[in-house]
Amino acid sequence: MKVKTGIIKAVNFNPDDYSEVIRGSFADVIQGGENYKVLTAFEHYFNEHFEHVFDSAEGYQEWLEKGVNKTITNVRYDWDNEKAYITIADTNFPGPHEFNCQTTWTDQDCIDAINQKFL
Amino acid sequence: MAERSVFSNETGQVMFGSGGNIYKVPYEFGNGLRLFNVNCPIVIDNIDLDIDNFTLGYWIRRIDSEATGVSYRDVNYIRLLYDNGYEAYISHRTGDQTTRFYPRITGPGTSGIRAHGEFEAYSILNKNSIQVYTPNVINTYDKTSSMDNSDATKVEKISLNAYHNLSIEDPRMNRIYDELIVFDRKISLDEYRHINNNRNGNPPLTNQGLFIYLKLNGAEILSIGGIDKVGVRDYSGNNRHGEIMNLPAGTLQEQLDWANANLFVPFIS
Repeated sequence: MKVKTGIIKAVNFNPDDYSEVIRGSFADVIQGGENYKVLTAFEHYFNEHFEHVFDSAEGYQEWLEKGVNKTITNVRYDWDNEKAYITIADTNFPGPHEFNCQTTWTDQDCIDAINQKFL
Repeated sequence: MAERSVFSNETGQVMFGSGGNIYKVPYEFGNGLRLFNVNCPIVIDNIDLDIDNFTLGYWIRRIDSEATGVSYRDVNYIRLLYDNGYEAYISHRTGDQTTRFYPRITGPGTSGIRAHGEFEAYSILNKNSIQVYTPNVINTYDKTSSMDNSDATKVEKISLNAYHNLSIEDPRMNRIYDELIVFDRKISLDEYRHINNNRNGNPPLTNQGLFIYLKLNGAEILSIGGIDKVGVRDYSGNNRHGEIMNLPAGTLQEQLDWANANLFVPFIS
């Protein structure tokens, strides 16, 4: 059985969203000044109520210790759908991350968008 | 196949006899415990062991030759929690391949202990010294500097732990533990030699003072502290089972299956 680790911001956490088998097994962590709930469990217990699920303990540990590497490595536009797709250097959250966009963004616009997503 | 009779020799070792031929049965180590990086220590709690009068022993086997180019690959260590709130630990380090004893977990340690064989046995003496058994002699190492555990009287908890250099991709430890044995008395050198048996292994010579005996062959669902948990059985008869901590969340059966699939491997492969 594969084991994964999932996180959700504590302010968004509702224990009723999770199986009663594991809902009491969440731990509290702080990353980047934000409180999170974290769960390490077997794969089938993870649902859409997690903000991110790490495939490995090492990936989770890297996020916990270093946060997200928000260095932007690529920006791509889909004008038909008015979307911007930004890829970052982080190995856990590389993206591409999707944003609504109607004009070409400056570098600062891209940085602001990523910062807004990863507070 | 000829019929064989079973009897024990004077040391209690099982032997087969068949028409005058005697075949010595090799000691069966079975599985051992291969820990992951910090994740699943085994804890034996509420044990109330007299601190000045016990012997702790276990087998430990290195799997691969130590990694080169890094200061250490991983460290396996046994922690002893005293009733004064401090912990001592015995660690097995890669790199310099020594065993180290730290009377207090945050204080300086006694370095350079090199246990002789693969069955490693220790007694804690006067809280701040450690006696190390070898087939030929019992060596004493002192560490009485600024640390003073004279107010400690009992060991309350024993745990098997590990931590890992995260630059190494494989999260599993490079060593396997097996056959953790604790006596509530100092064993003799002859008793040590019997268990070590020239690195071939033997069960304890006697059950006198046998306090804990974890064979570490595999996990079971056991009653620990009155609650069903996944752990390793204590074969001393004292039900001081070891709990496997930090298992992935799930049902007991899921945790049991995962522990047996991931934490236990043949000690001799």
